[in-house]
Amino acid sequence: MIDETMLAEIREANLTYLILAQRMLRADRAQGMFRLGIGEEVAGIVDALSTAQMIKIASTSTLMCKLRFDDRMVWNLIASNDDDLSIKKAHAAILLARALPEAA
Amino acid sequence: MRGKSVVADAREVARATELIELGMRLQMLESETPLSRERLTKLYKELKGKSPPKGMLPFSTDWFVTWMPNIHASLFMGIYHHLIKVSELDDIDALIKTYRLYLEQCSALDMEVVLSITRAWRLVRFVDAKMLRLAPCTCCHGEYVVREYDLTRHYVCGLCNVPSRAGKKRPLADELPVAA
Repeated sequence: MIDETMLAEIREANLTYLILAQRMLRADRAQGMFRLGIGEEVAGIVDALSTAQMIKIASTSTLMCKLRFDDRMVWNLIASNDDDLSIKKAHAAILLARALPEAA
Repeated sequence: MRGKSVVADAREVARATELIELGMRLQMLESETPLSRERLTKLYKELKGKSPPKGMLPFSTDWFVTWMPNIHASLFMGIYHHLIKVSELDDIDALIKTYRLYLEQCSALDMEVVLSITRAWRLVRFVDAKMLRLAPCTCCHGEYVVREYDLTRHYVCGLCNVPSRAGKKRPLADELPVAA
């Protein structure tokens, strides 16, 4: 059982995430999908959500966003504090760009 | 474009404007938009305040497999393929959007922009023509640009196995204006 404050934080994170996702998709559908790592179907659903729906979805106790990569390599590259950090980050960016959404 | 819709024409001009602002060369614009050469030249002069550069476009596939350009080219192609797969963009729109995302990545990663839009366009063309392709690295499983006939069964990318003098050359400053 998690406490009330944590639940409130989850709801807040959900709402912020959904609003941001929708804004990104509306600004530029293709780029938004790339940044969010989602497919056409999910993008359509998120884009069509009304504010009331978003609030309703956000108020569940589940976090709506999940950690993007399950690859240790990417974590290591991003988290490393090396001299040639920008090269490491570029490496991570290449690996991330490749990661397609499961739905696509 | 003769006798065609004014709206479609306006769209083409807007697209050409965007491409010129990103630094695309006239030769490529001619092949990517239905606008006439005279109109494109006029547009170019109006936007850039000078005549379009003359001379040949970069044409070598080898450039893309050298160390630093390869990182940039692979990043670009990764984004490009992603966009093509998830959305139904025209090739040229996908190129513009990918290039913007690429520029954004460069500034976020604090890296110099190595790939000009001209190079990026050539890269896409080379891949279409099967002169270049993407091969997975056996170590990090990322996809990297390689030449068609390179052996890639045991391919290890330049980032997993950094060559000893990688990135030690003089700055690329003298190369960029040629490509831009």
